[in-house]
Amino acid sequence: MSLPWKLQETFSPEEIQFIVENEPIKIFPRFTTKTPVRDNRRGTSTGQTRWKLLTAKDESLNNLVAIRTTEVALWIALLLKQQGKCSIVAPGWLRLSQLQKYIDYELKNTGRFSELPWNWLVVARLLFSKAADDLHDPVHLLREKVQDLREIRLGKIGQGLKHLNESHLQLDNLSLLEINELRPFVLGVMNKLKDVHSSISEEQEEE
Amino acid sequence: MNIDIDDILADLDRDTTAVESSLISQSHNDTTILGTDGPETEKFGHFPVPSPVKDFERLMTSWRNERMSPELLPFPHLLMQRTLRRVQEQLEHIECLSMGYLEDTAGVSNAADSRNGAVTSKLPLLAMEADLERLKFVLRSFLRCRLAKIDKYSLYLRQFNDAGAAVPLDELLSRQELGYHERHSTMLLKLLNNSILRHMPPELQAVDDNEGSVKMVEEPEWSRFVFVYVNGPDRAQRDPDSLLLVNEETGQQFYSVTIQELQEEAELAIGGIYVMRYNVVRDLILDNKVRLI
Amino acid sequence: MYCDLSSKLVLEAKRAQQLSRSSGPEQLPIYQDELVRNVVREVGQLRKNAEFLRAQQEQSEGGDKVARCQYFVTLLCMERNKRCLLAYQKLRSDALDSIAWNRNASSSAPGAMQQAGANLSHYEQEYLKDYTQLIADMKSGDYTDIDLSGSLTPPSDVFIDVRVLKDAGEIQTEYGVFNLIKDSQFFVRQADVERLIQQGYLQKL
Repeated sequence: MSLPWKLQETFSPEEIQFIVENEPIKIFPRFTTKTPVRDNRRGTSTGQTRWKLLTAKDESLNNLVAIRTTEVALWIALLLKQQGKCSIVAPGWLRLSQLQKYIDYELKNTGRFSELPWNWLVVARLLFSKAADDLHDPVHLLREKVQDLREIRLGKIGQGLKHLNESHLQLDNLSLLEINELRPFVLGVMNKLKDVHSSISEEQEEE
Repeated sequence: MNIDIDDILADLDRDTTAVESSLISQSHNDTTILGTDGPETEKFGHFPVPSPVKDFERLMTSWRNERMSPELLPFPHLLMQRTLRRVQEQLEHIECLSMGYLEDTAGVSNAADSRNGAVTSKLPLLAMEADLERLKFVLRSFLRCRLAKIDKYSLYLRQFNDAGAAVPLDELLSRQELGYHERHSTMLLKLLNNSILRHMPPELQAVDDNEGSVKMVEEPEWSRFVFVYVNGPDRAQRDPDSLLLVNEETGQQFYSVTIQELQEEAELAIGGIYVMRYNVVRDLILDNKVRLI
Repeated sequence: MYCDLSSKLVLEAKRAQQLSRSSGPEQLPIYQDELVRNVVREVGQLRKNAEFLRAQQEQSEGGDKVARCQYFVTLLCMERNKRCLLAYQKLRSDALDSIAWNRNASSSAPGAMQQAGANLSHYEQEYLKDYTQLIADMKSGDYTDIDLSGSLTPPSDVFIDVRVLKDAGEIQTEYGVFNLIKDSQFFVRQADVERLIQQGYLQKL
C-alpha cells in the first residue's frame, strides 16, 4: 500500500504537530533584517540573503527589527529560538492564572468545553520543551496545570461517550489533538450504531 | 535580553555579494510561477495569482480533506501545477544561494564557526530548506494518500461512470494518476488471473461480481462518519452565500443539512465542530465551506 | 468438509496481514502453493457434483426440495472458495505493494528483499517487479523534486546539533565540508547525516 495502514484512517501525532507548527506566533527577534531606508532609496541590495518562503509569510522575516515583536510561523520561531536568535512571546492563555480559569470553567460547566485555542495542547508541549525560558511562569508548574486541564477534559469526554448515536454529534472547542485521539473510538462506535440502526429499519420496512 | 550588537552594526554596514544577484533574477522569475493562469492574466488583474502562502493553505486543506474523506476527491490541477513549479524554482534558488556560501566559507565549517555570525547569515537559507522540506512532505503525503485510494477503489474506478459523477474521471484524477491506475490495476488483474481465476470454471472467472452477498467491487463508504469543521464561505468571496441561514434567536449563522437515512435535519453552525455522515456534508466540502479535520 | 481448506487459506492471509503490520511488510510468509492448489481442485470437484445434481434434478422434474437445496449449497461453496482464494492473493499483493514502496525508499537491506523474494510465487515475483518499476516511473518525471517514496513522517528539526562519537573522515554537504573528528560538535542538516547516526558515528544532541 502506498500509504501505510496506520495513516489511512487518522493522522499521526507528528502530523498534528506539523499542522500546528504552521500557525503564527509572536516573537522578539534578537537581530535585524530590515533594510535601512537609505539603502532602499539607492535601490541597491545589501549583502544579506533575503528570506523567501513557500509555506509561511516571509515579509515579516525580511523586516525584522531587534526586540520589536513580530509574528512568524511557529516552526520558524522554534528554529530561531534553537539558534538563540529570538525569544518567543508565550500566548496569553499559557500562564498559571489563566489556566486555572479554564480549569474552573471546565469543572463548573460539565456539558461544554472551555474555549481554549484549537492547538493549545501542541503549542503548550512545544513551548515547554523548546522555549521553557520564555514562559510567564515556571515550566514545571505550567506542565502540571496543563496536565490537570487535559485530564479534566478527558474525563468529560469519557462522560460524553454515552451520547454517541447514529445521527450526529456537536463537539465545539475540542482541540485537534484531542479530536485525533478520540477519532478511532468515536467513529468506530458511531459507524457501528449506524449499521445497526439501518439494519433495524430495513427489517421494519420488510415487515 | 541578549541582542547581537554585530547584527545592528551589520545592519548599517553591508556589502553586496554575488548571492544577491541570483536573488534579484529570482524575484523577476516570480511572475512566471503562475501555472496555467498565465502571466497575462496577472498583468490585467482579472485573476490575481494566489500567493505561495495562500496556495500552501489550500494544499493543506486538500491534504487534510483527502486523508479523512472516504472517497477520492477531485485533483486540484492548477494548484498542483503552480506548487510543483514553485518547488522546482525554489530548489534552484537554494542551490544558487548555497553555492555562494560554499565559496565564502569553504573548509571552515566547524562548530565554533557555525555558532557565531555564520549562522545568522545562513539563517534564511536554513529556513528556506526547512520550508521546502515541509512543502515537499505535504505534496508527497497528499499524492501517496491519493495513490492508496486509487488502489483501494481500483475496480470501482475502472467502472467509473462519468454521467452520475461530480467530475469526469479525467478531471478527478491527474494525468499521472490515470496512468498509474491503468498500469497497476492491469498488473493486479494479471496476477489474480494467473494464480486463480483462470483455474476456475468459466462461470466463476469474473472479478467484478457484485451478485453475491458481499460485493466484490469496493465503493467508497459514502455514509461513513467524519469530523468536520464549519469554516463558512471564503471571506474573499463577494457574492453572499445563499445557503447560509441565520438563527433568529442567537444570530448564529449556519447551514441546514438533511440526514437522508434518518429523515432528520441538522444545523451546522459556522465555527462549529461536528461528527457527521460524509454524504451529508459532501457538497459543502466540495464547495470549501466545510472541511474535514 | 468442503470449504475447510479455503478457511485455512483465509486464516493464513489474516496471519500474514498481522505479521506485516507488526514487523513490516518484508516478513511476508511463504506462498501456500499446496493449499491454493487443493482449494482449486476442490472447486473442480464441486463443479462435477453440481453438474450431477443438476442432471438429477432435471430427471425428477424439480420436485425434490432436498436435491435443489444441495445443488444451491454446492454453488455457494464454489463461490466461497473463489472468494477466499482472491482474498488470500489480494492481501498478499497489498503486502507486495508495501514492499515495493519500501524498496524504492531505500536501496538498503538487500538481504531482507531476497528473503521476501524466496517466499513469493512465480506470479507474485513478476507482479512485484512490475510494480516496483511502476513506482520508479512515478518518481521520475513531474514528481522528481518531491521524492515520492520518501519519508511520510513530517520533517521536524531539519537541522540538528550532533556530536561525533567515532572518527568518520570528511563529509561533503551543501554547507561545506565537515571533518568528523571524535568529540567535535556540528550543526548539520539531519537528512545529510541520518545514516551516520544510524551507524553510530554521530549522536544527536
